[in-house]
Amino acid sequence: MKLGNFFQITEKTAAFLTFGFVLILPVVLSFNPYYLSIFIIALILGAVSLSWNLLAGVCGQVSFGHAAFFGIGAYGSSLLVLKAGWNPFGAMIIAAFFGVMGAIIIGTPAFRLRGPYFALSILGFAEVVKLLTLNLTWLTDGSQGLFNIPALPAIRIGSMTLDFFVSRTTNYYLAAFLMLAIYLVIYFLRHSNTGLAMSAVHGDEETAAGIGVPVFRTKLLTLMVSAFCTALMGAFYAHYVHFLSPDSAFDGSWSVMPIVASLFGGMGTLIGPSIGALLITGLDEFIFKQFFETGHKLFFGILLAVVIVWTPKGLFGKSIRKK
Amino acid sequence: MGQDAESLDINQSPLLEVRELSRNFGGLQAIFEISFKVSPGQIVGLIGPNGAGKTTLFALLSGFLSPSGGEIQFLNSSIGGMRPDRICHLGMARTFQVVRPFPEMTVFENVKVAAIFGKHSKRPPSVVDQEVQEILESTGLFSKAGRLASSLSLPERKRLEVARTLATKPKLLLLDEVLAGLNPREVEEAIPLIRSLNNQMKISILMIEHNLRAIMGICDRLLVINFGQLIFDGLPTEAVENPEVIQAYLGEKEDA
Ligand SMILES: Nc1ncnc2c1ncn2[C@@H]1O[C@H](COP(=O)(O)OP(=O)(O)OP(=O)(O)O)[C@@H](O)[C@H]1O
Ligand SMILES: [Mg+2]
Repeated sequence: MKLGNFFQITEKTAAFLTFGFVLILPVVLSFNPYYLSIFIIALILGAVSLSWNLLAGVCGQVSFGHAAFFGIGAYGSSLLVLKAGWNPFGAMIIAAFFGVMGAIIIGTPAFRLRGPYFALSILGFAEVVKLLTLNLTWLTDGSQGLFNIPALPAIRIGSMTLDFFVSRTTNYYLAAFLMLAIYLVIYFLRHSNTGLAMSAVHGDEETAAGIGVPVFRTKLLTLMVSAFCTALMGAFYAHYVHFLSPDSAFDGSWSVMPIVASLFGGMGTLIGPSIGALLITGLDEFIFKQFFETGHKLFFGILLAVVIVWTPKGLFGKSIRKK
Repeated sequence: MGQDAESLDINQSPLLEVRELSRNFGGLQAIFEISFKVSPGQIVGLIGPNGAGKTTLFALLSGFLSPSGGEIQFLNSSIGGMRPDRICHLGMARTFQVVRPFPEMTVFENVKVAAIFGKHSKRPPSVVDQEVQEILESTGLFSKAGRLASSLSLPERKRLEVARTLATKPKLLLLDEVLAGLNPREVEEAIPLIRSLNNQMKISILMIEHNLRAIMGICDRLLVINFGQLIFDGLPTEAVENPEVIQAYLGEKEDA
């Protein structure tokens, strides 16, 4: 009685359906600003989950600390704009590279060790970066946080103006575009030679090394790409909400929710984690919150546990075929 | 086959030369001052009782373990403690006693990743695919190319293990009990495959095997180790008459 027995689609079809759904969702929601804001966060989570799963689902390296990269991207971009007067779009890209630097700093020592050290040391890394952000008050204003982070500047295309300051809709579609771009990067990476190496490292590190795969380099590269994408989404988040504190930017849920979304949507697929993110947001918003106004998080947690135990490959893990 | 081991040793510089190689695990001396050579073109058998240190020796040769002492020369470079992927690039590849396919990848992908990363030389994708096809044909896995490795039977997995190492284009192949767990008919099928690797693909082979009948038939030379020490190095026919070998190897068999 699992979904995989009912329908089978390919990764590509699943991706088309997902992005098709994302495209029309605002129409379905009648452009209601409240719901749009909920799903902007869902798309950010979806994109982070895709990135997390590139590392965990494809390359087999589970991270418990992706909040580190998210927060680095968020603070990095905000500070470049607030303190150095950069254009937010340029700042977002550079902040994503800060995420890559973080990946190198933590990945270089952690990937030299075998076993669960990476998963744990990255958890510690996220904590350290958060503490640094709290304590480097001259730069980050510490626990006070950063206010008035500028929105992304309006883009003019012909007679059309895409405004990111007021319009939820443009922010929604930019988030969707970023998620699509990240998905495409991951898709093509997975289908390259490097993707084959990632898969081999996931399958069996020792054997992979024995047939010439540079295991350390493959893991580090995967982490760098994953961190880049996660930090990019962190930067987008900062310019979207205009306010950051160490607690919000490095919130543990940016580490935990991508794991949950990936488990939900299927770690063995590429698109699954973003479906998971949209689905858990939708379920939480439209079902659990409606019926259990106060305890919805609890019921939600129970549902997740049931899904994970019931179908370890995720709800769609068996429905979405690799090719 | 049939060539005198000694004459090969004299005529050619060795492919692999191991000098006083040692490795201990804490107090356990798993390998102790082992020295031997493998010349180009040879098939050398490696036998010894359970726990003698055969797999440990392979792990040392292929870079999965670092030696505690001694030297390993492969094609005139010192490779003791070198990383496994580097050693693979130099031209030595091993199979694992416990087969380890990449379960979530297809048979084709399993071999392809070895073909791409096993050698430094860059080839266009079509050439790589062609190579993979040929290896799958020669190892009898062609019809299984699209299957997930996790769905293979044990004999098929063993073939895949060999196919994958072959794709790295080794000059020296280390086979760790590839015949174990196969029924007599499957062994009969596997032996010509191993021979053809040596004859046609010009790959030298060092193979661990418990199946004595099989190894006597294939090997030019036999190494016997017991408690981490090399106790015999010579022709297979001489090994069965060597008292130390009989006591160590066959004696243990009787106890078991
Ligand atoms: N990583 C390790 N740590 C500690 N001891 C080890 C390790 N690997 C092997 N050993 C020990 O070293 C000895 C040699 O083991 P090895 O696996 O090399 O034997 P083997 O000759 O391959 O045996 P078999 O015929 O059963 O495969 C054994 O006593 C084994 O328990
Ligand atoms: Mg062994």
